[in-house]
Amino acid sequence: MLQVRTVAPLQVMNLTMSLIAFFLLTSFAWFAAGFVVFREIVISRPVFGINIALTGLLGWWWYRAQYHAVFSWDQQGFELTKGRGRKSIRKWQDFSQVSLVHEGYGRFLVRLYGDGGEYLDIPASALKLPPSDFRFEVLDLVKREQPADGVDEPA
Amino acid sequence: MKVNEYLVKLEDSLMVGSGRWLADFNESFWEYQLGDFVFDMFVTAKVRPKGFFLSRVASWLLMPNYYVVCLAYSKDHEVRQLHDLLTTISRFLKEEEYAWAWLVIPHEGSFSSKARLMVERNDSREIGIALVDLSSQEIVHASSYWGQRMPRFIRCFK
Repeated sequence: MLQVRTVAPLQVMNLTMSLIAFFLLTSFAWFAAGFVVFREIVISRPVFGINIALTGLLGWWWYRAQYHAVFSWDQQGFELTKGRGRKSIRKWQDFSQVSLVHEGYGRFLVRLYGDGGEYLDIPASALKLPPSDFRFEVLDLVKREQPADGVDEPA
Repeated sequence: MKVNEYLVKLEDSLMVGSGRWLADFNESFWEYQLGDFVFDMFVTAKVRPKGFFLSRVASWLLMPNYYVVCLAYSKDHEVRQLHDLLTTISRFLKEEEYAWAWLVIPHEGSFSSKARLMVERNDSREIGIALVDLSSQEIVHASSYWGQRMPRFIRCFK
């Protein structure tokens, strides 16, 4: 029986960045609107409260649309969804080489190369998978699914 | 210490440890085929480092942009195939326009005096070689410039 594993952790850093970006953006929008309407920058608790609520909603929406990743895999293949609508469903046998890529700041990807040199990245750090161990697991899965040398594929 | 255990530590040292002072080692392959050899580990790097905006501008203005590689090969602790290994690596450096390479030969035991002498006398300008004895934690390196720089970065036994 094939064991399917799924990981979809909350990426705290990306969510925080989204929230900060939208807080700055909505604050600027409030200040600009206040200045246009009242000719002064309006700062009040209700405005701040609405700003925080709006930031939460927009930040969460942006994080789900751009960053949130869901990864499921078993012995035959995997399904990777990044944000909304970017889904890859592939088999391990589509790939022939595996590497571990350091993106900087301690963030790692596991990169899968196809025979034509094209590649697909699995964001190991973002998925909270131990990068080195996960790379070895993927390496085993890719090697296991390769057709043996000198053995013809069945017609 | 086992060879694989050492190689994982070496990879970590190059990618996120002291290796960053030398080059941006950012991609690592295991069981990498190059010519007739299958290297245990193959870590590529760019000399120009990453960073935030100002660091990127500074490195773009000041640093040369060339590629380097660190290879590990544990299947020849007698160093009988050293000449073939170096020829394969040299060919790769020329074809892919890499500037220099490090060749690390780890082994769970001592190396023969012949092997040590061969490595110590090697003065290849573009390839640094080191023998790593994992039982005694001794490193024997080539006398070349890149060979002499290796011990600081590949001494990762803890």
